[in-house]
Amino acid sequence: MVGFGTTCLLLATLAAVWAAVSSFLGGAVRSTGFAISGRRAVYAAGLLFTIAIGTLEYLILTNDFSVEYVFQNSHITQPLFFKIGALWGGQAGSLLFWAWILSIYAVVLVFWNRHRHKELMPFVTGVLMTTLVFFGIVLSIVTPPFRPGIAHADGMGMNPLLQNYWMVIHPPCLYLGYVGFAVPFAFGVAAMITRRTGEVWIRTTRRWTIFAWFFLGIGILLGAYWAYIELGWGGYWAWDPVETASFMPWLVGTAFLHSVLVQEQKRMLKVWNLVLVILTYSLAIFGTFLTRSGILQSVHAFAGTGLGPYFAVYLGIALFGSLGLLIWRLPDLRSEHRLDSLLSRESAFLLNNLLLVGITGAVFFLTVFPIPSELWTGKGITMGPPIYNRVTLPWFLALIFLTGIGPLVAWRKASPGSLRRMFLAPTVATAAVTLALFAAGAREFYALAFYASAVFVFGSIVSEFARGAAARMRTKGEGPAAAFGRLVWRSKRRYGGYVVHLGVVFAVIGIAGSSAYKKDATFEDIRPGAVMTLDGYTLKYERIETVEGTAYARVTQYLRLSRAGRDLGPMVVEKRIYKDVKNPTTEVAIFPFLRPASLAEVRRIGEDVYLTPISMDPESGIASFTVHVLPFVNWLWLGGLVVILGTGIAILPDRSEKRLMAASRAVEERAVA
Amino acid sequence: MSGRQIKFLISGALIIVALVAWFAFVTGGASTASAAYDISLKEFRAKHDHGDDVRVRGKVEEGSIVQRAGSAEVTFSLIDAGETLPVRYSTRDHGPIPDTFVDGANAIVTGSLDDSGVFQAHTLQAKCPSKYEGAQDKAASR
Repeated sequence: MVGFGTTCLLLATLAAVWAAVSSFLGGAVRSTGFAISGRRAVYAAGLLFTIAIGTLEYLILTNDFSVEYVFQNSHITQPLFFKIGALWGGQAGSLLFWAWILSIYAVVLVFWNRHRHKELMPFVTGVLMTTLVFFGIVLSIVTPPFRPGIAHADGMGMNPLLQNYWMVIHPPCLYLGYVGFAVPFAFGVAAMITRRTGEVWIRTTRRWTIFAWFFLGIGILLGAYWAYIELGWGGYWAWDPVETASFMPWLVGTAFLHSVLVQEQKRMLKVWNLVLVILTYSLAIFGTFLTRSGILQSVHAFAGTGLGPYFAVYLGIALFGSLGLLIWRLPDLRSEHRLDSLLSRESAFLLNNLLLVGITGAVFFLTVFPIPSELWTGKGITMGPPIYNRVTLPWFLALIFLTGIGPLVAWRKASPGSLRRMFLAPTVATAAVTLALFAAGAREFYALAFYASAVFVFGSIVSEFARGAAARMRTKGEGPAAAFGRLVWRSKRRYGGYVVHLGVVFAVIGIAGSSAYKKDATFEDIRPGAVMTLDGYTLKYERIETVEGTAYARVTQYLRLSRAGRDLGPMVVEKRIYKDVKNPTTEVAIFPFLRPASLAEVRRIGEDVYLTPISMDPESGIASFTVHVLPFVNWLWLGGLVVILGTGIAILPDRSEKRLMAASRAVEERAVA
Repeated sequence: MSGRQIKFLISGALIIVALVAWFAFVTGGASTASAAYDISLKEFRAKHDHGDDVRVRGKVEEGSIVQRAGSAEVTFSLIDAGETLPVRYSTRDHGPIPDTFVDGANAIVTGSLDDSGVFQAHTLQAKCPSKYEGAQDKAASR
């Protein structure tokens, strides 16, 4: 099986090589023969990568521990779900997984476009296959997944900290995102090569971009959620290099996602869009590389395995190659309109780009700071969360306000009349709520400012929906529900986007509240029967028990949460000692407060009471605990759900798409002729 | 160059200058609570950084972890290349003791040496279980 798997992988890489070569040839000399051969090789590569990855999963599921990878990532009694997840749990498997997703994306793309975009597709295929070749080389030479080892009877197993539902889903989501951005990137490169720098490449990749952006975002959120429920420190984001590695492509990807709208509508920002897609993809590759090269020491540092140079070479080719291409094709990328006024939607999008790229630049600099600082001063200084926050918060605040401004400001030039009409209601609402919050005691500057921005965006979204629905009711005589429904359905992209913004509003409230108003307390020498209090909550420590299970032994502590005399529910924490693994795992208890008993308690909806056990004596029960109260934190996860809903709406096809695409094609044909 | 272009260039340049200045201002006031370099225990001992807030990495000495049940703090010895450092860490106002903090783990502590020679740590990190390991001999941990 091992030989079979290795051979498959080798053949898959060779297929990708031929696919790249013949596609580029086919595009360069305009030969359909070569292009078709390239397409077939793409299908072959997809098939072979699928067989290869299927083989690895088969080896895991059949407990073949003579394969190094299976030995390191699985064991006989590992639950099935985590055996499946072991496929991407280790270095080699995750790289194979990445490559496999790319090969499947390529198959889908090539099949979908087999009769379309005949000029662009050969180069698109070429770019994607070149990437696949790179991964194939790395998998064959540096980290072979099918390396045989000693015939072990049992494996070491996946680390218990990673045996968590969210941690298993997290990498696939991220990869769907990272790899997804290869598609618009490939189209961008193809557009530059063929000088078809109109809107066609953007319109045809719209769904891929949304899809990739969405999964990358969800992947990041899942990582944060996992950190929250598993790591026990009562937080979800630490600005660790592993986190920023995925955050940076997402930020620039968000800019790209928005900026293309301007090119579609006004044929401006052409250079920006290419730069953004190049940056997004490069950062995605960089992010993949950063977490595997060992180049940055972090708590999540992964040992270097010689992957570094390969990634660096590929990244260099992709980034500098495409930038060089961009500079060469600059004459073809002139805007067709000019910026008429700073007070315009074009201007808002431009500012959006600047803010997002600026934040990304700052985060990038802070993330890699240890490297130059080590070279410069001999000390590898690592930047901590306070610095990241201080640097980025003002720009994030501006960005949130912009989210409310953008949809309301007119194209080309916003007149004073239109400004008054559009902005009056949201601005008044924001001022009123902010004053109310201030009066109620909220004084923390950033919390107040972000709450204000959230209200502003909310007001902006509501006014957009209201205006649109009202117009339909007026002109078509529809009732409110029908008007609302048809409004969204006729313009899914726009209104789906607004729903996504609404999700962002909730997330901002969640992040602001749980950061600024978090409360902590540590309790020592607590005996069973004793009571701990924090912020009006009461936790009674009831009892402790020890149980020897099959996979692990556990020490469980049972507590009871109440507030103002009202019983809320149990909170159970545990320390597990797994057989075969050195580290114990601590399971924290999180209680979301959802049912207020009085008006005063309404502001607590969505907050979490978070309990971490520190030390305990299984016999006497004497223990120590840390308790946190995180206001509004569940609004963050709720925001994520709303973003999912909004993206689902936005990604659906709109009737006008075909017409607009045809128009763009016509324009492009004339330009290239 | 037209007037418009000059205007754009100047405003762009001003924005960049403002950003750089802002950046320098914010990162300039970095303390070890927010930014720190880590040095090995061996280097730390050689330098005698008394009173300075410093980030030190080393290994947790086998059997040195002492945590009284009911206490929120832990003491242990950090070792590296023959050097030993007694460390005390309290979870009060700081993060929890990580699950990865066990005998023999690679640890990083931030804090300073007090007068009695004990390192008072205000952060404690232990090497995260790596998903992507290099060729390590894991048999030793069984």
